[in-house]
Amino acid sequence: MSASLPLAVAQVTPLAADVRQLTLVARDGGPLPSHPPGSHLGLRWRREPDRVNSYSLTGDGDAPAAYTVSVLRVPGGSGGSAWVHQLRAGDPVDAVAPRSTFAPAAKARRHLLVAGGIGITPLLSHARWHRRWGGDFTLYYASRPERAPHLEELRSLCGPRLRAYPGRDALWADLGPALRRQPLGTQLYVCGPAGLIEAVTAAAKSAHWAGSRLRCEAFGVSADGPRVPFRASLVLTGRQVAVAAGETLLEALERDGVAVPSQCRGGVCGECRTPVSAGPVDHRDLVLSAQEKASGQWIMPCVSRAAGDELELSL
Amino acid sequence: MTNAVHGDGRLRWTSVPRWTAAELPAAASYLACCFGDAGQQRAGDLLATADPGVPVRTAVFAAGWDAATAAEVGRLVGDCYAGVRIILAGPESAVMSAAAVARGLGAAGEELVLVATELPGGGAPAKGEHDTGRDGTVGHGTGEHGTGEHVAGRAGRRVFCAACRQSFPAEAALGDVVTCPGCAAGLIVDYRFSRPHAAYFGWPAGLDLHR
Repeated sequence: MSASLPLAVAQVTPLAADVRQLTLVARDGGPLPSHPPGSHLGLRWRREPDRVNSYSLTGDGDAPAAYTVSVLRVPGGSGGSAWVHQLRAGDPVDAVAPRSTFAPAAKARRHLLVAGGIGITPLLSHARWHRRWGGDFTLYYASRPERAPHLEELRSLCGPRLRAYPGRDALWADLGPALRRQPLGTQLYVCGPAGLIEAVTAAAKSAHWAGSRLRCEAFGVSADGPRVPFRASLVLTGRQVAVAAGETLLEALERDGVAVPSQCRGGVCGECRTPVSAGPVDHRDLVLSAQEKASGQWIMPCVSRAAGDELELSL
Repeated sequence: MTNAVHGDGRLRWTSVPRWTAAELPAAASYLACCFGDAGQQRAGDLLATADPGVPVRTAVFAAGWDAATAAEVGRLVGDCYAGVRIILAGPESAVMSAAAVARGLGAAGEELVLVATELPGGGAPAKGEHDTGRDGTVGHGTGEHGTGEHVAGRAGRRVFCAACRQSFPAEAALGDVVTCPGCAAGLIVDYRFSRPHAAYFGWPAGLDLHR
């Protein structure tokens, strides 16, 4: 479990029917840690068992007086966003200090930001940062007209650097050709639904963008796929853990009393990285690199599973 | 001074550029900057394998490197769009100088195809270990890797003077002593190469710090 950062809700602002912005300050009124743009803040929404959801911070991160996050209520989720939506001003919140997984490339000549829906949140942070330091950027933002969080704010922040679209088709009509007209040294960033990330990645690849020029931030995970039961052998402790079809490897380990650090429980944050000693892995996370996945030495038990009947873990 | 201190077997622990046969990656467009006749020949050989539908821009320079060449390479690279692959072919000294200009303008290692004409082009890429650079990429551009042949013997090399912090062109083998035209210090041309400076490190020969 990560160290707690005690915060309190200063303000709750509805941004759309199902999106709320929380303004959080230090509970003791003290300063808050700075963070790179595109970082996320963990909010502990349940203690027993410990559950933390990560939300992108929308400020530029430089000596912030408050943290702001914008949270979409996800019906049928595990409960974290519903918990956020019932918070009121004055409520205490235990947070996990900001982590950076989606920072701007320091030496890029230009920044091309692509956001879909609530995926705007880390890129709003980037836009603020570039505004502050004079970075060259353009923000492409596709969202449903009835739910376009931060759109008005972005219009005044970005001016003509913002290209807003009411849907995916309108976005592609512009973004497709734009990907072939960016100066060398442009860095591309995408945050949004998995479908958008896959489409932008494919388009950049077909335009021969260098792989290192693309940074993605997913939320949730395309961790779908069959959930077949399997057995996990813990070689260091000699235990056997049966993983049922309806649960994750992480849940099965926790049920059996094995302490595995975790945070996002969605294959994004990397906290639960666990060493594998034998057995093929069906990787479904967004943390491990292609080489790490190919090595078969690691698994993210929050989303990934055995590709066979059994997996040996160095636990 | 010869290779007594650093035998060639230990080159893999140094930052000296090592060359393998370059291959032409697929691209949305190509820019070829050729230095000297041999550079032009080698870039042409590579581009002969390109998809004929892909636009190619070729610029030919003298084999040396000077401020005017640097400015023109910078202008050509600055005009490129993402999706380009930039071929730099010629003597190592000019190629690495041009690569430094391109990187300064935002080119990534995987967008550069580097060909040193001191070494023959037909050889198979070196097999075996892949040294990983500090930026996490393998090698520093197609054709220049952590494995392969280095430019041995006397050759044109830029040398960075540790005493007066200028770099200058010299004809030297690694381990030779050259005289800095700026401060007259005698400098040992070391087995250390700075990619941003595109120069070998030259340290005053009177200081026996090396052993």
